[in-house]
Amino acid sequence: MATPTDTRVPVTVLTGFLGAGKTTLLNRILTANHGKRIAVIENEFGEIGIDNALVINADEEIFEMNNGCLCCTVRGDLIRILGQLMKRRDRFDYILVETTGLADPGPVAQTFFTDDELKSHFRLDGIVTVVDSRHVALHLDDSREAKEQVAFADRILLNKTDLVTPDELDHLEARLRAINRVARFHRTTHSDLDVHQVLDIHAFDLDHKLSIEPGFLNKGLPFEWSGTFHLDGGEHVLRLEPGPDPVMGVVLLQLDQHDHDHGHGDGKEAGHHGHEHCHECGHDHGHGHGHEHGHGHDHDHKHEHEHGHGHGDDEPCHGGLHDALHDAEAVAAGAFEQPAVTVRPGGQIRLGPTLHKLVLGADTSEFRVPVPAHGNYALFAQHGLDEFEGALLRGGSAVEPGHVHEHGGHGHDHEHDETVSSVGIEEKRELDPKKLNAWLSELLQTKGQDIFRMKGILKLKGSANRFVFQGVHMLFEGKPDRPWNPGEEPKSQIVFIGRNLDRDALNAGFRRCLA
Amino acid sequence: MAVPSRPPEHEASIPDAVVAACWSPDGSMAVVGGAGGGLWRVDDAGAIGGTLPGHRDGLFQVAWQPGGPWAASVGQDGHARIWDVRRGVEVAAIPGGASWVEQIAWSPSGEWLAVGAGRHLTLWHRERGVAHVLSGHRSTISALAWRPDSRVVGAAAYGGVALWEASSGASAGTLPWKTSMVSLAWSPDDRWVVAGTQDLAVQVWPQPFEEGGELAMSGYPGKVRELAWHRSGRYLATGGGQQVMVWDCGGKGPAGTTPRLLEGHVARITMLAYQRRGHLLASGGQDGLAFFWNAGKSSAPLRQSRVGSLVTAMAVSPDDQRLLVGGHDGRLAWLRFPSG
Repeated sequence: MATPTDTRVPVTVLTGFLGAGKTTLLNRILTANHGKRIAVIENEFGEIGIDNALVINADEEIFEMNNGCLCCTVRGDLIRILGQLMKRRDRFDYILVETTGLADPGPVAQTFFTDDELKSHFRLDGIVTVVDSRHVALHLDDSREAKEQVAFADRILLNKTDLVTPDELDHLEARLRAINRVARFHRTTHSDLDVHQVLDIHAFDLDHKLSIEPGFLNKGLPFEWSGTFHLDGGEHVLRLEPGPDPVMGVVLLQLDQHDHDHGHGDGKEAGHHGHEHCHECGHDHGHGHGHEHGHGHDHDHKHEHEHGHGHGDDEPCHGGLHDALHDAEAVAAGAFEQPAVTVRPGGQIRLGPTLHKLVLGADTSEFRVPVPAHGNYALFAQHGLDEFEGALLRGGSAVEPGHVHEHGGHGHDHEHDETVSSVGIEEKRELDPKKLNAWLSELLQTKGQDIFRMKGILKLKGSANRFVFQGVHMLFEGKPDRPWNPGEEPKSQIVFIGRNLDRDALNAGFRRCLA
Repeated sequence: MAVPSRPPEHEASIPDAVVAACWSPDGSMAVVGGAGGGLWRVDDAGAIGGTLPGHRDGLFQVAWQPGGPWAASVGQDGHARIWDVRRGVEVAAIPGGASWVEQIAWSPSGEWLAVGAGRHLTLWHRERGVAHVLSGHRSTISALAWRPDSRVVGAAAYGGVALWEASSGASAGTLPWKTSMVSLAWSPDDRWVVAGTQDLAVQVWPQPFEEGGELAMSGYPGKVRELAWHRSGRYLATGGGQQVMVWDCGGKGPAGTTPRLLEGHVARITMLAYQRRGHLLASGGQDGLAFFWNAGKSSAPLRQSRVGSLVTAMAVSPDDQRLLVGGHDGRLAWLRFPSG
């Protein structure tokens, strides 16, 4: 758990098969201009040559623990090495652990749950898995470790995207999402991304910020289309032709721009491609924009592949805006669950997490969109905009979207028959804490080996606050959290990621815990 | 009742976190190791008398050769190094077999130096140099301890303590344990080998060991890195929390007995040391305090001293009169033992 005064040193674990691009990512992190003093624990021989980082080579040592917790394994090498680093006066700001290609991430995570000494000085920040987009499918088919590395991850880098076609990449992402529905995905070449996307992400913190990524329920997102727009302040118009549905739900949000400081202009520093850059490519190379229909995947990042080679420095457009859009999807998904405002042609679409049900006329319908200020915005639409020949206009001319995601409805189109998968449960009714505790205890005792990670936000009977928990295998921690925020619908959300999960049994077990 | 308190007799500091300290056999000086790799020579009046080259990148331990002129140190440069401290020169550099060389132990005779690095144990002889490189340990060696007769050394690793005969390099058996260990100590009367374990217990193997004879003492709040034997082998002082637990290993041993609890520290204990010939025990903790105890007689401390930051090193002088204490902030304090 982290508090504003948490001075513990964060630890990020990098996993991925040999050759996926872990070492490249590591070098990128070490050379990025973040001012951090980093210690690297390497289990695999890598080519790291950075002066200001301490690089420690060590064999992976798996220890079984005997403290009444059956089958709990920890990483002895990490306990020993981090124990030695604690003794130094020159403090490290950050620890990176690069595991071998065949590493099981379970023991690493369990180390930070079980070793109190370590926990008092270090906090596990997150697990980052780098995937070779070209070859991972083979590994997934015949390697337990490859599946586990995907299952445990908080962030997944689909790397080497230049070696596969956009379609192949979409299929791959859909397959990996079926395994892990809560990780955040980044598409990269040469492991190139803003390092802040993988460092200091607080994925294991139990605090008020704990949230579960939208789409953790397999039903997918409640909107089929989302896109970013770079807009100037002033009056805009959303124009829609009649389409397959007489009503179209939309939400318009402003995108947060907190995590980027640009202005170098040269675009060469690792991880400093940002809004402007992406925006430029959206305009200057304005073709396509993802209007082709997707394949029912969760995300079709058409924009990225189509513009990947359009830059002078030959680096793909990616980063901040794409991730801001991803973040905004959670807010939009929430808004889609709320009561809607009905708007008729000539009416107004307001900025903010409110669902507008646009009632379409028999002919072209126009809706007013006042934009308060210059900036980046995201539009979320119940159906694909192209199905309505939709366009956002300013002064009569269309503003092309930047990043576009097409979300594949509510189907299970690409549910591969994976042995490792995610099961999400959502419930608005209150839970009985005692029944829940009994159910989880029994579940972890009997199935803990197969449950890699779990996370939950719970609405318990008799409490005005959220209850948050997370766990790795049979290790589990939870605590009462903040009160529900105004505008936040109190409800329970749980996600399990594991092997041979029985979705129906999990659902049934959970429903038996209703108060 | 207030604990009598006394300030240090001398104080000094080095510009690094202290990780280890040891006295010369004549008590005229000590060597102090810093976490960053440096070694400092200090005299018994608290004056810094110079430095030794030490280890690039970092240092883990330093130990003076019993009865001899040398000190040995280990660190992150892949070597154990033997120093002629008075002359300030390196006598030998022993490759450890791994980049981090963490463990070191002189035989009580001063004849052998055991060096543990990764899964390798190197036995170095003061005249013959490297005599044996022993492998087969199931994990990185986490602690070393010599049998009092200097003939056998134990190396703790995952799965047990491997025993090796120094002269031949032959295996002398294993003291099995299913998990890993963080500390190891052999009783001066050769009746017990004890280890602090990863699962918060103290494991005891009676000597000579027969399978099934081991016992575990659990209930510690933390890992027991601090183990100290009274010279008689009767009392074992253990840390692992804010209280010192002293086990009476006389007679049939500690099984079924209740340890004496020594209370005074207000944070975790980090160091324990008995006098070499006397009865007194010294303890240091994260609270920056050092306590002196006569644990055979009483649970109350005889005296306490505030030495500053977190205690990270402690060494009893050869004459049993002084205690050198080192801290994480680089502070050194010379304390005097009470008369007992």
